[in-house]
Amino acid sequence: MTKHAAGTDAQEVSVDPDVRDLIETVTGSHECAEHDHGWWGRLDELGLSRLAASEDRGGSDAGWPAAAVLVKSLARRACAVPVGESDLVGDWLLERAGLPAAPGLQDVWVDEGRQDRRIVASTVESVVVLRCDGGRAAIALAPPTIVREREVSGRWPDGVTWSPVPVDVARGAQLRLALVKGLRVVGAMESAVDVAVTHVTEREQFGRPIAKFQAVQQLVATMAAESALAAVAVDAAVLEMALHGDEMDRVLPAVAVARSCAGHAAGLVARNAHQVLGAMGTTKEHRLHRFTMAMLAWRSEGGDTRTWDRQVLELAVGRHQLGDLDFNEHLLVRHTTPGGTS
Amino acid sequence: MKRPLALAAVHPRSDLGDLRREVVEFLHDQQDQGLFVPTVDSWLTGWSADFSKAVAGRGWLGMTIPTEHGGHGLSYLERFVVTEELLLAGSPVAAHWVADRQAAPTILRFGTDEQKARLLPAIAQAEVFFAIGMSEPDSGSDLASVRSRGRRVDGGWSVSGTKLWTSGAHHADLMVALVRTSGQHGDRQQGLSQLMIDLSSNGIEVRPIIGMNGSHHFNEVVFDDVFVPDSGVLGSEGHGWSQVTSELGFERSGPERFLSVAPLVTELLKAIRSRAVDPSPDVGQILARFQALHQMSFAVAAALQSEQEADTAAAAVKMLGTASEGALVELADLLVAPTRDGRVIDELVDQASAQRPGFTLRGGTNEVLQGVVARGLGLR
Repeated sequence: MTKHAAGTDAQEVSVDPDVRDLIETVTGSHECAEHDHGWWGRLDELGLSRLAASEDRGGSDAGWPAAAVLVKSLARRACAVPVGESDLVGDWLLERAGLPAAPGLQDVWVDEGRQDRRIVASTVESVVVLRCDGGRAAIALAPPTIVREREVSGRWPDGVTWSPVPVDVARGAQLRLALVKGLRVVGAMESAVDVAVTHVTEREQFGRPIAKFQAVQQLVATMAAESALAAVAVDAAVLEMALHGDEMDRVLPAVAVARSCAGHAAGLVARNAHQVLGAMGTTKEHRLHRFTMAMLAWRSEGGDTRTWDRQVLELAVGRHQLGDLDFNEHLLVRHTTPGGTS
Repeated sequence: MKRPLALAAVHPRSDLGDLRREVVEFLHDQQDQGLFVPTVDSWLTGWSADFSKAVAGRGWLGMTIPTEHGGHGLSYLERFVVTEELLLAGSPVAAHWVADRQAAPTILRFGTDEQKARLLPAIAQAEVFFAIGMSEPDSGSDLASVRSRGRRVDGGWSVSGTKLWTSGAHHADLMVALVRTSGQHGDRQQGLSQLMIDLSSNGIEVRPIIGMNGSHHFNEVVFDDVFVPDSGVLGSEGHGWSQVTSELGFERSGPERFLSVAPLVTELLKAIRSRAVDPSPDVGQILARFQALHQMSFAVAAALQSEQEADTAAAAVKMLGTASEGALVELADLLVAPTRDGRVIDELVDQASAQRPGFTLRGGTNEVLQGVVARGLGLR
């Protein structure tokens, strides 16, 4: 019987320790090569490729918390294989469009008419594409070759089948995708912090580990703290998704807060990590860039940081609660000061 | 790899939301009656015995004190949400702040039965107010170097020395002072005691320290052979240091470490809403940050409630939170400056700007906290 602090709902959203152990053991010290579809095959064999999808669609129905553990764990290994996107967003969209589960691994792309990201064709069987146009939304399941045509020509070829989905489903999918990317950023940041901590305690200059210098301690302490802050915000959004996934007025603020925090943290963590690693951290050979470049890329996928900042502000100005803390409730001040009213 | 900052977010039970709403209603009511005006840094600057008594009357002081000692036997998380709402409204909680937040837990943990019986119910009823005496003219960050001395006399101690930056000492009834009672200066953490000193005693002089904006919250308190009876010794003689450090996790991670400028945040949102101020995305960034700080702070409180170690995480919350308070003040100042017009928000910005330097200095400077986090990570 786990001890839960009074005042929490810990039990409802905890992850089965066996699932957690399996994920950690399997991902182990694996560091992904850039296009590692074989790695997905291994996860699939072990029943980890579709943790959140429902059982009648070949999934484990284990929910967001378990799937989030996997996404973070893979991101800690700098793995770009879109397991989370496929399970938590792609299959979810297909289901809501009344389509069967697609074989293999899907990436997810929200086509906003720009060329904002290259789909890595060799890692996936197909791509779930979401397009929103005015008040309407539709999805298609496209093979990588077709997606490549769209990337090159800027247009979708004829013959792609578009299935309409309600606009709120499209918005839901975008939030889920945004949260998956946020989890990736958090995983990559955690590894960057680990690399930095290890390095400064081992690297010696002036007769001592560079960790002994306060200036270095400040860089590492700050990046670790900012990373932890973002991680809690993303974790809180996962809880909202798990407990209130159908309530847009709860998940939108939670995801927006999480993505804003993660995006800004990534900038600081990447910068501080490279600063303490020195020149060797800038090389292809050293592993650091795989985490820092990944966090900087991922923080702009599924929505960019500044847009999320604006989204948070828009919600607050519109008197929506961002979370438990509500700055809107207070101040019925009857101040009248010379030259103005409150 | 040590990961002392790895915290899981905690989802609050729904009844904590109900408790928040009760506190908000109480605060609206108090404001409707004109009983307080929201201020920045109200837990330091807003002293109102009447307000504290009203809060006590609702059962919101001594929340975590067991009922057999006159408290309400509730959890740290319930106390946490009440504190957040009181701070969000910028309400005048300074009078009971030290008593409820620091003195009560210490008395509960280390006090004698007589002290518990005499003081805990009184704290819960806002009938006794405390100040904290730690810093001295020559001892700021280096607290173990304090020179205030207690000399053994018949039935107690005779205390001489000077305490500095004691907020509210000009109002409070008792001061919990860190004083050397054995050994000598240079023994550092050994031989220090916590003494509860009656501030109406002979030999005490409280001199105001005026802040740069003309306000008076801090004091210099000079002790000249002040008698403190044995019943004023809190915990064990000579073990004051470990007593002080035992509560640091709670003290460092509380919502006052990121909500000192909450009324200014609310006013800034109003100003953006009415288009008096530009809707800068930087405001969105900092609002998101405050939510995250709340989540991290709440998670630390939950960890401490379950008696898990969270001192490094608590230091990180304080470090990030106080810096964010300052960042909000800076941002607000930049945003309101083009249209300054004697508005409420302008007044709050001025209040906040004067209070801001203290945010990252009090209760452990950010530079010291960085060192604490670094130590927790294994760097020192």
